[in-house]
Amino acid sequence: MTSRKKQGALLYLAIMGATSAVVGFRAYAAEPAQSAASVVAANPATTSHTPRAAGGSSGSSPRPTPSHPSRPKASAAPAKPRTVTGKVVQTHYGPVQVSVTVTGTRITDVAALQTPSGDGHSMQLARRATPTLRQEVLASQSAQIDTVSGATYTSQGYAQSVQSALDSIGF
Amino acid sequence: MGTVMSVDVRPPAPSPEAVADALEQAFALLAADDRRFSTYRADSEVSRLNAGLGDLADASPELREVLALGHRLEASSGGAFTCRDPAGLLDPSGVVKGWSGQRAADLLLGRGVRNFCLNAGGDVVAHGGPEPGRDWHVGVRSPSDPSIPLAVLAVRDQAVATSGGYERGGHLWDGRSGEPARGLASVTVVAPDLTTADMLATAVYALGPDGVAWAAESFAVDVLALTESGELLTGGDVRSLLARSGPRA
Repeated sequence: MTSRKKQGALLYLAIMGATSAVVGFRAYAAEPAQSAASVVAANPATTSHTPRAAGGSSGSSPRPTPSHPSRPKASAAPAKPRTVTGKVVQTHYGPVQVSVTVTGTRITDVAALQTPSGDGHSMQLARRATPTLRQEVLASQSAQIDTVSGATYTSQGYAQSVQSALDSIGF
Repeated sequence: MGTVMSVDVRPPAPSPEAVADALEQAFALLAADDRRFSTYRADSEVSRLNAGLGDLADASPELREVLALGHRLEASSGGAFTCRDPAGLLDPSGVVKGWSGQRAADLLLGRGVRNFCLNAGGDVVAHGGPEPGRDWHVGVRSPSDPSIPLAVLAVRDQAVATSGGYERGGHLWDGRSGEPARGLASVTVVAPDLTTADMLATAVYALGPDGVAWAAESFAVDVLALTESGELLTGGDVRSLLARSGPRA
């Protein structure tokens, strides 16, 4: 389960809202003990500039571009974490709201405060699929998931709530 | 288009700096495509054409390529797939979302990124695997319950696109009638590239249940669809794509 962390997996996660200009490109390490790094590009509408990644040269960024080593030093003095709450974003499935914890110039946690709960209707599957295939489809539902196909609404609400939290503290 | 894109890159990969640079380029490509094609932006090439500013004959090579793809599928789907909205205005979003995501994926591949999973607004391109010996597991959103996937597909070097009634955008009508598409609650298509997967997911959704076998037979893709009445329909070899649950082998 945690084997990919133990392998020191290099993980880049980038989020962008294509509705508006890219204004920030943040890099942070998920855990100090590993070499994972994530990159987040966020999307409020005002200005546009070339996003800068970790270790990149500083450019025309209107905000300070934090410089992050991809392998953070364990000896770095810990900054005080700040947790801020994002706005509630309405999605097709219901409200999405997150809180974001920032330590120094790093995002150290994102927690979902509200997510759509679903409507409680269980699926009624397949008269046309064979019973065996239907069973296999149902069995696959419990497999580990890396990503979701068809996730437009909730993921967009999530990104917007994260961004609003970061905006509120000028991150 | 109003989409969110995420990219998950796993080792072995080029240096972190090289990966970050490739991602930056990929996002820039997505943003540029959005500026060109968005029907929500008054200054996009598409919006300007729809406003009567400019001539289709002078369209950019990108727009011509997108429209050519759209017209080809429009013909083979009997008009169910279309690049025009019911009012007759140009709306190539049924092509652009997948096409643009595939361009971003091609850019990453060209930069030597081999193990990644790109998700552009629910459209997925998965290359390599998340770790040795495992394929990328793509959950298919259930149209009725976002907390439980309809199915989980294990894919490698393939693209997965899902069209459903919950989807944003104005391209989910049946181009033959100009009415909202009926009959299917969601359609998922697995294809070698995202352009094909996304366009066919939209086309099958527009065609309704009959489109499932049509897409599988005409384009050699795998299709998983749920009807409005809860029937599960499959085309191609979906069974071999189903992820195994439980601990990794």
